[in-house]
Amino acid sequence: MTSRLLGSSHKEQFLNLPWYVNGTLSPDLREQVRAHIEQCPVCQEEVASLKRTQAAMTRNLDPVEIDEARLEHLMAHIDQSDGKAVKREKSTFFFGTLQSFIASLFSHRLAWVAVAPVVLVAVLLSSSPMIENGTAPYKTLSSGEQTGEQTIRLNLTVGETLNREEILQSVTAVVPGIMLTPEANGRHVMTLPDDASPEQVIRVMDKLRLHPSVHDVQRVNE
Amino acid sequence: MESHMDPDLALFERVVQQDKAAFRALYRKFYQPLFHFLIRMLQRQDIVEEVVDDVMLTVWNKAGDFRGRSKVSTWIIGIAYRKGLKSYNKNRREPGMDDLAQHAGRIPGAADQSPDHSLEQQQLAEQVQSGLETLNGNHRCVMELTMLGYSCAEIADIVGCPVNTVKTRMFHARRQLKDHFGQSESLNPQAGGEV
Ligand SMILES: [Zn+2]
Repeated sequence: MTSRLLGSSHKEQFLNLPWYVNGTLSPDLREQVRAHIEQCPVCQEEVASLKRTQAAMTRNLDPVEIDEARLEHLMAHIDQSDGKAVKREKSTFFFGTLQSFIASLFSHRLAWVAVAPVVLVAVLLSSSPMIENGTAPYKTLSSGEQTGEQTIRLNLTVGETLNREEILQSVTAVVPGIMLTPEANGRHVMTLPDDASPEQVIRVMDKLRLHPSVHDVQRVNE
Repeated sequence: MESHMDPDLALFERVVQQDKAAFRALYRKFYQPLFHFLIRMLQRQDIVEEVVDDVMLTVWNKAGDFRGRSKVSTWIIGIAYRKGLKSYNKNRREPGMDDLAQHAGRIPGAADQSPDHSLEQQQLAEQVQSGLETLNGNHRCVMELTMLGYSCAEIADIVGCPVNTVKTRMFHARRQLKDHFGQSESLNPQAGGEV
């Protein structure tokens, strides 16, 4: 082994010095490098320099506390994504099955005669929310779907200069049949018709938020 | 590599099964190593917190892609390397980050709490930090990971290059740091004579 040590080049060992200093060389290699350093002033100086650099670079690395609120926020984000993924999977499964079924029909033309009524019913059902969700059509406004039988309410915080007629006029241009009811503490409740689409609800909320007399808009799902 | 001895593997396998409790435990375990690596590179706590969350979200979403070729920790730090490098390169070009050298050596939330460090050490740290800011992202990462105690083979796995490339990058990073200081500076009191 001694001849191997003496024969190992300065260049080869010099390149290993950073990991000699951080203590991660294998025992064999560590011993080789150590033996070279003993007889090489350049490598001795480089080791000293690396130690100073390492001390300078790691001097302020104190223990870090985890921000629990951030972790919870991340977990909530993951929970949300999970919901979407499950829904996508179900929807993909249904339409994937339908697609391959239709594809198989093209390879057996005569089969169309027998299965056409079935396909018709399946296509009709596929547009129904019952099939798409695999459950009863319970919806929330944030889901980006038809709102079904929910009552859509918006809580408004408004200023004293509120002109009810003017506000109602601007939002009924988006969805007819909106009602605005005053409540205590300067609040108003806006009720939208059940069949308003999510896009319409969002447009109404955008209009309200841009209105100078409306300070705040909160959606309430029932 | 060494996956049979990997202390994180049991926990990680539960994460692959989308076990959220295991993911929380993994987050707690890796928060500090990730934070330390990224704060050295990026300097700003708010950016680092964002990147750590992004890294861990990727770990959750891509856990199934882990093939056990490296240790779990290497795989996770590798994700942090790629995201940190992106942020490093992006932020280096931002005008607001040009004054980084002024804050050189200061780690957010820690520097002011170390009154026992001598002025000399503080100055050295500032010199080193300002020198590090001149390195390109790949050289910088190798330097940081080495100083944080990663082996050459681990860094090769993290960065995704051969071991010899890691050594060469480290060599160039060291040489550039020394050029930055000039040959009379404290990092390199004896000039010349290297490879
Ligand atoms: Zn030597």
